[in-house]
Amino acid sequence: MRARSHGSIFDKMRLGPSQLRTVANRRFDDANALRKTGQNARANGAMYLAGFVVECLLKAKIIEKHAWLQRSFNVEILAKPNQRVYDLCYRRHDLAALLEHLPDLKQRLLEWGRNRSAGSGVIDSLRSVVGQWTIFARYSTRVATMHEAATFIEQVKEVKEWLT
Amino acid sequence: MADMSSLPRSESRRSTRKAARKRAAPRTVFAGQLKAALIEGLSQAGIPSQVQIEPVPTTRLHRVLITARKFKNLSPAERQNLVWRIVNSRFDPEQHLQISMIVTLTPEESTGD
Repeated sequence: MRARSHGSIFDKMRLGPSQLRTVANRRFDDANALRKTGQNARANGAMYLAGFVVECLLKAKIIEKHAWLQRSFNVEILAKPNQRVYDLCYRRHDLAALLEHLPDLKQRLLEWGRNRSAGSGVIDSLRSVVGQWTIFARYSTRVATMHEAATFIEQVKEVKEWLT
Repeated sequence: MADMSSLPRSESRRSTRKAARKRAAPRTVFAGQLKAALIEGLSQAGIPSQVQIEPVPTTRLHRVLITARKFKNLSPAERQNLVWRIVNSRFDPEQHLQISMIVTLTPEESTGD
């Protein structure tokens, strides 16, 4: 068996907020590339990647809120609430739980929508994405349509612009 | 907060339970109103539904699961638009913040079939 080379993309890394945003941009481009094929067979992949973009951006916000997550520490000795934050960032992929940990963000988003003639488009898109996307998309045997994927990616695009 | 150290133990426990119920009450009321509004709003759209609301521990938030057979005719985004339109029309924005997420599934999707 070939030894895994140093610096493989499969290495587990703890990223900082700006790295997470870079990853989000790259995965968004990947999702768009799949969308451009126009093939329904690529729709699941496009939606999975697009939802992952929002996961990265919400995690960047959480890490900014809890700067200690960027330092090295022993997870076992963390206090319970901090362990929950750690799990949220590094072990789970739950958009709703991430948002539940960012109540100020939703409040700001609501106020932002109120002050704009365009209305609450971003918060509607965020709610919709959170209500639809789960990590299980990557295991799903069901096939979404490219029309569904395109709608989903448009919502993610709107959210991404606001979260970045 | 009231000093309960002078109360007998059972009395103190009763007071604690009463206080906990009082704290939980507005949350339960909102959950009930939300459930009724969603069932009614969906029914008006010709979609009979079942609504489950679950409080998120240590927060004032709720997670909502709606199952309806007729969701089959709608895309995931259309389902979300519909349920959030119902919420937007019946609750004020501050109340929206108490909803963490609304999942919209058909019975088959919810059981993974």
